[in-house]
Amino acid sequence: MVELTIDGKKITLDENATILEAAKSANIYIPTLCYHEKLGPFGACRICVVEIEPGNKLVPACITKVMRNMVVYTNSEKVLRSRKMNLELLLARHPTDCLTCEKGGECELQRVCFQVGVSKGKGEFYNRLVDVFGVQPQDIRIEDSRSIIERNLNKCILCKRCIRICHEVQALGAIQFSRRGVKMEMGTFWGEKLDCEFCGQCVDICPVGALTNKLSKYKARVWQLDKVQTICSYCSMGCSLFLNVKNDRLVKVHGEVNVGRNDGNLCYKGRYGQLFVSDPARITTPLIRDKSSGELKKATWDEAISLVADRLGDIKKKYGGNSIAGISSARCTNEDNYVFQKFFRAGLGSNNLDSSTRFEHAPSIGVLTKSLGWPAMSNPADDL
Amino acid sequence: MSKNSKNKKLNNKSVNTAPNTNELTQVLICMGTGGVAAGALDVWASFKEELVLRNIPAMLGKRSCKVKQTGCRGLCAMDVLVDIIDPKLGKHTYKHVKPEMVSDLIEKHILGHEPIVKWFAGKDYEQFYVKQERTVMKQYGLVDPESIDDYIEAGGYIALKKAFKMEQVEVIEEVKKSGLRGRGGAGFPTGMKWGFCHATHGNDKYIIVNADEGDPGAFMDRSLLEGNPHAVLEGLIIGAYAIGCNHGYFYCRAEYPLAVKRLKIAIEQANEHGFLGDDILGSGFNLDVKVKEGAGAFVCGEETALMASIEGMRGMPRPRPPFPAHQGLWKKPSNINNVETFANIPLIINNGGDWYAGIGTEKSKGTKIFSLTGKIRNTGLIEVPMGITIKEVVFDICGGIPGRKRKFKAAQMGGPSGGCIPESLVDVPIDYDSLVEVGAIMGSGGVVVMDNTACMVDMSRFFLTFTQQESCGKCVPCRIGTKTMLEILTRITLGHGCEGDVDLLISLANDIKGSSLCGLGQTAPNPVLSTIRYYRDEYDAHIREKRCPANSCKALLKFEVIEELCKKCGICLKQCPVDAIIWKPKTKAVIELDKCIKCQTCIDACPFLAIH
Repeated sequence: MVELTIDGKKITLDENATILEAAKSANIYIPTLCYHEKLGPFGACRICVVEIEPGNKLVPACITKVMRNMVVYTNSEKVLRSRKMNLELLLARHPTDCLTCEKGGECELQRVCFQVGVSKGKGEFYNRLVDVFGVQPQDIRIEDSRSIIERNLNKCILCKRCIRICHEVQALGAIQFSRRGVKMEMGTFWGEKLDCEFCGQCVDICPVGALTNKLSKYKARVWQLDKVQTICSYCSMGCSLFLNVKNDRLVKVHGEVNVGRNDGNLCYKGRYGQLFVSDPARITTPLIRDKSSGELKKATWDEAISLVADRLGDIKKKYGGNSIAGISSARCTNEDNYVFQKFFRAGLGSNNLDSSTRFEHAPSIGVLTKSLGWPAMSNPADDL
Repeated sequence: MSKNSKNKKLNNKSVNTAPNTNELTQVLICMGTGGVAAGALDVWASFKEELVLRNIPAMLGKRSCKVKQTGCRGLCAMDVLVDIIDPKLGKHTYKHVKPEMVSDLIEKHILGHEPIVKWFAGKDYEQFYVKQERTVMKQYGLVDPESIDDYIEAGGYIALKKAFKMEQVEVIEEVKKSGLRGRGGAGFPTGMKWGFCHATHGNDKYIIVNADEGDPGAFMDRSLLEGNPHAVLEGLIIGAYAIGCNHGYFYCRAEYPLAVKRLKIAIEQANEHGFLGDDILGSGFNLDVKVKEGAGAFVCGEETALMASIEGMRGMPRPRPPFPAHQGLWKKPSNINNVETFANIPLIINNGGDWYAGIGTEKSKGTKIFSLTGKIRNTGLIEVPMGITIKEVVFDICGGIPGRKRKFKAAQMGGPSGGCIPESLVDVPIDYDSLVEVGAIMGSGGVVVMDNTACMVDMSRFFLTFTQQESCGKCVPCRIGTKTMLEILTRITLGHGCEGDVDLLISLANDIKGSSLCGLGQTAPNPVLSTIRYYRDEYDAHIREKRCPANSCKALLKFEVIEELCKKCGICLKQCPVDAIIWKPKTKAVIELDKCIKCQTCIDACPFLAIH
């Protein structure tokens, strides 16, 4: 444990902590851009710089480890000057079309600029860059591909968060930086078509509007959305996700760090596969086939369930319980599956049960049994 | 193989192949990159051919003639330099040797024992060496860089054997005692650095030679690797032994093909002789050395970016701490030093730290190699003791500025990370601390000399263009800040500068220095700051009067002849590629602006600086 002082507050914490973590524990706000708690140290944006004693040096808070008797100033004149300079430089080349930007409202650059008090043409130091000298925002062609991810490099602040999550968390490495200096850009190898799983992790983690979700473009502003936490219904992992709902219609899905077993990570199904819930073609009530016309007609749940109960009772009476088979789903919860089999075994007297898991996971079971001798998970996901 | 037998083999080999220099006529041809560019390969070929044609060994009786390639000896301006050492006449040096001169040289000098005086390198060549103190470069120009036997005969690998008899700590102590500071630029004490890495625990440690020399106008490391790679290698092995590293890397730029080639040959030869590999010289110490070629990024000279590059990642620096001594290459303790630093090590071990500390100034010990380029008579490589002044280097060693009306204006020290030394400060001693005081840095040793035709605004724009292009793009101040500074400078040189630009530049420069991640960004604004410090009037002339005092910024030139200065010589007429100049003997020249293509050839050609 080490003791240090941040803005006059004495804090004692673990010696492996960074200044940023120490400040957080003391409720002192330090703005960040390239930092993300899920990702490894990077230290590129220089927004989180703080002044430390001894030495009166400016160091990035997100990567500098705390030291015994360190004195940190998060708001000294030197810090504010440097922080504002970097923000003004970023902003001078950033197109501020926040009015139509998908990320408007949840954009981290917007948030930091607001908190630090920097706006285009109204900064303290380099506002003249825009006003007098007419420094133009970057002007790179916006990606026009059929992908569900839109890439707008004009807005990219090169924080590398997308690349880092692709490498560090997804372990895929579909994207990387190319070129150098101001010409540096995020993209695929040799600028080829994006060839990945389309998990959309990069879109979620992008602090600005450089990577956005095409499916939800112009559908809603962030503040119009109700965020409903739920569990993904696709597989048995049970990932927590947030449905972004506007006027009872699902607009998009996102995950949040520290929420659920998935810690905010989502796969392509979880993130992009949920929009069917608001689809007009979706079946929302039970349908019963009309005997005379042969057409499916809407029914209430009571009607449907009693019809099924009657038919099952008839079949059991006539042919015995063993003539009935049930197929359950991996997308149901454990409790549902338990009740389902209990109903079949105890209620109907049938052992003829199967699950869709057999079709989905049979190949992996074979491989896992052969290689590890155990067909299910051998360790918790956190250990990976 | 046992220790004894290995040593025996070694001794035998060096005895067998040692040429008896007393009886041989030797022809030493400078074959560094400078020499090769000047045509040394052709000269070498014609010497060999002519000697075979004339059957020289027979004609000289029992004696034979040895033609040898050597590394750069420094005076690249006079390449191809050829030494002919006659046992009776001693050594004579010829400059600007061309293949057609070879048969005469053999006929008259080697066979006739009559040196050809008119081709001698002459006074300038002798003057070049008077004020130099050549310790590291002593063997350059004498030994064949591709022959380990030559190096051993010249006293090589003795330091290594001596070091192996010392304790590891003793070696580090000796280096500490010498006061050697890192020659890469920052000047961190080498002994202390080794001490840090030695003190870290762990078996796998790495030692790295930083040969990613990228400063415009710097070629010290290239010449060292081309001229005597074994000296650097020996320093590396001693360093590895002192620190306890078993893995070594040379990180050399791929743009130095000759250096890479000779380095690889040297490593192979050292392996054959048992100076590398397992159980070196029976000491039980193992070291394997690999060469990694850089991919052309200046930022990879920064130690953390260099290590990322070796690991196969994008060459981007990472924040320190953790310092490489604790977590470097492959997250193992690593030590990284410059080529020249390692080249100094064998000397320190051989002669002792105290001897080394006797050279130089109080805080900067030893000698330093500088490469001089630009508007200077004798461009090339010099080795001088610390504490010598710029004046001595430029005027006494390198022969001053060519051109009648040309005067020394400034010397840029430390390349794009350094600053300029104006004429008023030519008496400042060259050592780490004095240079920092005047706003320059020692840097790796590149010196660009400028005369009074150089515009300092344009000069700082040039260096900023370089750093801005070479910025990796990771951190905001370096990526966007240097670009913004460059845009302001470009505007000033185009005549669109406005009041307040200079203050804006100073403010941006200081902020960028303060918050950049690595050394590249922290030093990139230096040329701008130092030129503003000494030549603010030039900036003001560009901004307020839209005039370039040095007549260099094209957009601000009028392309007119200044009548008072024109001496009616007509040189401009001969140089003009589009006949835009009207001149007759004994009249003043006039430039026809509608024909002029503004190529600036006449301005460069005019000996009287009469065109503006």
